[in-house]
Amino acid sequence: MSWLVFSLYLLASPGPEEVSFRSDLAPILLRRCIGCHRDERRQGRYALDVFERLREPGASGEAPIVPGEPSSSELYRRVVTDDPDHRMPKDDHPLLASEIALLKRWIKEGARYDADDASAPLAAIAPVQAEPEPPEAYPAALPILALAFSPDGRELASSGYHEVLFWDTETGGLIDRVSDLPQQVHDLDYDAEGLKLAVCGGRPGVSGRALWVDLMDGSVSAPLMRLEDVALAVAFDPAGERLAVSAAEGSVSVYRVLDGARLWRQALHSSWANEVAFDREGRWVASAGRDHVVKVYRAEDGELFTTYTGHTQTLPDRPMYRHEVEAAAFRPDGPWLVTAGEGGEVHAWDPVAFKAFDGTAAQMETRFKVASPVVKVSIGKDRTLDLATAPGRIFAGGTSGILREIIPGDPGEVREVGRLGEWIYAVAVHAPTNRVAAGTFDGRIAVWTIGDETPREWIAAPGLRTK
Amino acid sequence: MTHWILFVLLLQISPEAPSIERLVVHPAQATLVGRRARLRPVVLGLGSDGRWLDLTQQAELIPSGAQVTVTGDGHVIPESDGEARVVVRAEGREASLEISVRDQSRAHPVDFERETLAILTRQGCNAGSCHGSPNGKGGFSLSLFAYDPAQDAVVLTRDAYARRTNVFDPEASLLLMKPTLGVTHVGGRRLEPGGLAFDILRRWIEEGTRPSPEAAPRLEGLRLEPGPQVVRYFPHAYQQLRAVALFEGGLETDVTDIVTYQSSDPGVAAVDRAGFVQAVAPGACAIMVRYLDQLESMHVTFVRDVEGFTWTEPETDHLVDRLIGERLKLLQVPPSPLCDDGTFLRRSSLDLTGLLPTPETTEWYFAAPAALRREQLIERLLASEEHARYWARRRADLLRLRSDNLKDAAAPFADWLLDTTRANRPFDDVVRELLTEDGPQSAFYETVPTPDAVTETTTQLFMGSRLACAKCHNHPYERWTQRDYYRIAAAFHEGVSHPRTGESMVPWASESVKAAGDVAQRRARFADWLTDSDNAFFAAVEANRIWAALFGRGLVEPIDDFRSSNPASVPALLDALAGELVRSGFDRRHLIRLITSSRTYQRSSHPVALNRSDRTLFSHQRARLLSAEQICDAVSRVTEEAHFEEVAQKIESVVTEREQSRASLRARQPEWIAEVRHRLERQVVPALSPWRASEVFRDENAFETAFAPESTVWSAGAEGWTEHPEWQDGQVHPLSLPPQSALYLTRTLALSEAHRLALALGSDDGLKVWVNEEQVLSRDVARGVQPDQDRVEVDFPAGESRLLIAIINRGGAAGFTFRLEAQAIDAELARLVRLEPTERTDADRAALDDWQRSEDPGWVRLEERLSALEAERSNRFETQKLLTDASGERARFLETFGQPKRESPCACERSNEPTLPQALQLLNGELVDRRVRRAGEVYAARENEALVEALYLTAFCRPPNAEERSVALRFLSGRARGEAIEDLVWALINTKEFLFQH
Repeated sequence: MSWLVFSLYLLASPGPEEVSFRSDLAPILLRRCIGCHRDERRQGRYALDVFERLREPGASGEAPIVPGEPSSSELYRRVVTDDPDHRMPKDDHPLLASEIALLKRWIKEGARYDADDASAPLAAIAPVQAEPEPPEAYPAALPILALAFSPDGRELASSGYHEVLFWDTETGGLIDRVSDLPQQVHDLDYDAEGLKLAVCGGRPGVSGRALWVDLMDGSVSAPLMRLEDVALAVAFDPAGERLAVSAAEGSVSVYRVLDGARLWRQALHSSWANEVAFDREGRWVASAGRDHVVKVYRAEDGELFTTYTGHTQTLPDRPMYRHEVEAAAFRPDGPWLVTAGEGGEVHAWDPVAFKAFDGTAAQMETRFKVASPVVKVSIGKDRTLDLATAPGRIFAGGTSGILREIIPGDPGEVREVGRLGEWIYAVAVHAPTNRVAAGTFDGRIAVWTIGDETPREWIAAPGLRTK
Repeated sequence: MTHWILFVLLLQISPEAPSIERLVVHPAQATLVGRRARLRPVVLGLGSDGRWLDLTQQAELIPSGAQVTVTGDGHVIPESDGEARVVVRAEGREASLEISVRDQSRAHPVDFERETLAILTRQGCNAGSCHGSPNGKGGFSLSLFAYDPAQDAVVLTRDAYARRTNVFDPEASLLLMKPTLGVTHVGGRRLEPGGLAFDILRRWIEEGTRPSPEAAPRLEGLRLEPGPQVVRYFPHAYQQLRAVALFEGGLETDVTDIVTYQSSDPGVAAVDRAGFVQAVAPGACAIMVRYLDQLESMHVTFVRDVEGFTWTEPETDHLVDRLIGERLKLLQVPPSPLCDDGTFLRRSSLDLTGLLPTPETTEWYFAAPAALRREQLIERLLASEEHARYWARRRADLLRLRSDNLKDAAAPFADWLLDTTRANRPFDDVVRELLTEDGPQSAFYETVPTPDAVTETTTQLFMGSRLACAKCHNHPYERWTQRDYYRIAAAFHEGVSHPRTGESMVPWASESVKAAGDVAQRRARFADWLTDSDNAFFAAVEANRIWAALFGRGLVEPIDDFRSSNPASVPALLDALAGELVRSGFDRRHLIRLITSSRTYQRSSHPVALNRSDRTLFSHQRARLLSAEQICDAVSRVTEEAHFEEVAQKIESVVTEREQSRASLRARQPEWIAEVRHRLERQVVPALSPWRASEVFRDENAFETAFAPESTVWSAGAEGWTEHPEWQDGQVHPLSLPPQSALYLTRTLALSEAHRLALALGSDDGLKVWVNEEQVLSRDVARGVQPDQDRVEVDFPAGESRLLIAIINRGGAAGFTFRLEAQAIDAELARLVRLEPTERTDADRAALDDWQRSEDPGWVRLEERLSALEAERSNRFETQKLLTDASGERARFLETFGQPKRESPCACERSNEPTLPQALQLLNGELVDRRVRRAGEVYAARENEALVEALYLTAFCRPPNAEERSVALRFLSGRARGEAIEDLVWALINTKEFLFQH
């Protein structure tokens, strides 16, 4: 039998090279089919987002793939038929003739799967495309989505276009550029020794990855994972042994730095996991979600410890709100997690005390008049986009363009550090040198020495011609 | 093969194609400002057959200079500053287009609001089913049709970590990748790479996603060419449109390629994104064009020549027939002939009174001269109490008049509604009174307690606008914006602000918040604006409601959903009817009379061959299922005739008595005249001084408190009080009084001899009256002022008397009115009685009769009895009750047939859908069963032949035909009598002829 198949294969294959599912077909399916035929949508009760599912019939009951027989394979018939009700992609241009030819040949050649794991998402098996070179001179200012001080405080790393830019904290001068990185760089984190810089990001709606730059030689590690949308945040544990990554798919994963092995993965957010953070002892990982909640996991194995719902209000007879949580950071000087986002409030709370109090903060407070273990500080109408913590200090920046220092307490205190007049996406602080930095939508980086009114400010766009 | 045959047939129908006589190009001249300006000329040709056709596709455009070039798809685009001419050639004819080009050496950046957002709207991105839905789609949320540009700018450039636009590589922006399917897009392909829309978005990103310049001129309007109405004939049933944006300062920009087009009826016309309209089937519809917050529509009519169509209708001056006729002729739809007299009787009785005609009416009708009977019937019906009640009842449905929500206020509100309908008060007055005046009708505001409810209800009732959408965003299919919504709300309530911007809203029809004044003033200004004869909606909506009541379908349908996307089926007629309503002083009966006198109303409900498919042009009447109340009453009519006859007999006897009284009064008229003349001679004319008003006194219990003037005025007089010579007797004088306060008014009255006089007063609120220190009236009430609310007779002595009245205000408005009743014999009466019998005209004689009767207590008593009996007769009927009192089987019956619960101002709350439960109700429901049984009893004594005749006449307004008669008689004679009658009546009720109005 297998001999027969083999001789048929020999007869049928005209070209020297066999069509690869992984590198030839997966990119086509990803581009043209997966929008409707993914597990969550299953139009026509058919999904092809992993190879296992691709072989299962949909609503028609017809086998999608009959190895060796394109004309009996529903997947092939659907892309070549003239009937507009049946031809895929529905209501869209047909596949290119060259794409159809590849599919036909692949089926003829036996429809083999040439990756390891038939249950892996196609996005994870499709070949990696090399990142393009960043432009030598920037045509425009780029929003600064990420900022990080090196542990010695001398350098400030910022997000660039397919690169990370390194700036001299004192002078604002450009020190170095490291490329071969994702188009949008969403977050940066130095390990405690200053040996590695974790980077994450991706192409919006297309791909996402996290990796690190070896700061000794400027080399870029292999991506830790490949996603279908951007990775939004990275965080090293205090020892620099583990790296946590959160992503637009709602997942949080922790990797071992030594070999890049994944220690655990949780996908508990129903929307973007905007931010991820390790606590000072490496015990907890926290993630802030666009789904209005904060999750705290045991760092060891990823087991969910508690879910914080304090950023929503759903009690009857009260104004209802659900606020996206954009930022989360543990305080280095205590067990507290600081979270913020929409709603103009910064919350500081101890996950252990909060869990003891029960998971439903707002309800408990209002209904049972229990003293809450959550400290809330109001900062007006701002939507906080990033937080940075240092011993005894919390800084927050957001859509109001104002960088604020939050002093928790009852009622707490808010001090304005400075006004930048544009959305602040990134905030970083360096306690030993007493510096705080913010990055804006219009590409500016501002660095204050705490206590000074005027920051050092520059546009973080190499070679940009200013008018 | 088939095509070839068709071709030959076409050749035979029109042996030679008409030649083109003349070419017209829109525009004739234009200015192109900026590098990216473009112009889409529209070319029309006038054929030798007098029909216009669109030649845009085949026209050749030849530019004369280097200032402009012409693209392959027929756009004129600028090249360099200067003047140019474009010669247009088609079908051997020529026209030309003068163009001036400006600003070619200046940058021409994309304008975010006027271009980027317009494109997103045009491509459908921000539609309600996509990213314009309240929660957006896939985390990407735009404002519906871009009503919130500032928020959209944030979403497109900054939100979601600035992921949607990529200035470094514009074409790699998610905003462009998704709709071109470079990245998976659940919404499918929405944009063609390289097209104009794609190019504008790409440029906007490349130029740095900049917002619109602050000083950009405001968009003031939109002009559609070759509009506003076009008629095209198959096989040339298509038309290219051109849209021109009119900016502040006179700048006109061709926006044909960036506006959004929509057809109001895709079954008639399809329109593509380039503004090319193509017929789908013969008919008419509107093409709506949206650009930013402007919406304009063009009415298109597509005609296919109908073989065998001829027009045989007589020439007419009748407004309705003329305009309907024009439309039918244009679309080549022949009308049906007129219906027969019996059908007309049944139809108009049901339409005007809700009831089947009484046997007396039927008898009277068929006895009237054939040429006049329809006209006379309408007059008789319009004058009837039943008409007033039925039409008031229909309005009560929409006003949510219910006893359960309004409690004690419901009955007075219903009475007010009935009174205004019975008196046929001008509709604008009625609405103004409803919205502004204190009185029983104020209960209206209790049915709409919130700003939202009053806004949505008032606009739907009187402007036919369903504004609820605009509560949360600009109305998707209308000009109404969210601001408009809250401005109207602010016309009814104070302190209304915009939910998004927080801006304090200037009330509709007011200049500013400051100048708006209190709620009463706001409402008054809104009501003035609403009922103004210039208000396009007000009269049209009411005219449409009247039309719909007479045809079962509005010219605009649904009848209270006026919007450009829902045009009238015969626009000219709706305009004319609205104009007629205004011209007649908002006389609704005038309009009913006008419509019912038309051939259009009187047409048969049977279609003819070529008008069978017409649903909207009124070429024939429609058979309509009777409404819930009509069916209930019709069943009553055919089953309880005996009872009505009983009441009718009583009415008849009162009428007879009244006739006798009339005769005897006439016989005694000379004596009465002599008596009046005698009164005239010794008439006492009191001399009245002007009113004087005290200061205002305040106390928590103002009514109980006796303030100083009550004791002092008798001795000290009204020294120091303010004189008001302008306060004429018989008129209402508004007063400005704080809550819980009293104002005293006094005057003197001098008589030459002692005389009894009656004082008639009205007050807002409480009232006390004294004459010469003696209190003659005390009324502790809260009310709005009306003339003659209180009446008191007082014996005045000879000489001077002093009159003192106190007006006590509880709160809100205040006022009073006063007159001496019969203080003098009416001048008109004086004139009448002085006439010699030979000098009297017919009108004089009628006036004398009326006067004499009104003074005769016997006559007045008879009139009162008569109206009580008529009310009894009316109250037997559901169509005649303003407040529904049904319970049990009657309530179930009415509900099954779609009686509304009166929870909404929407005419759609009444369901006209036939349902299975309805059939069950009619076949063996409790109500029908009980009534049919009763019929068996009451008709038992009737002779068979007469009974069959009477039943057919009552049920169908026609006698039975020979076959029906013989079947019915055979049926009646063959069985137990009671049961046979029951079965016969039941069978009649269950016929289509009975359940439908034809």
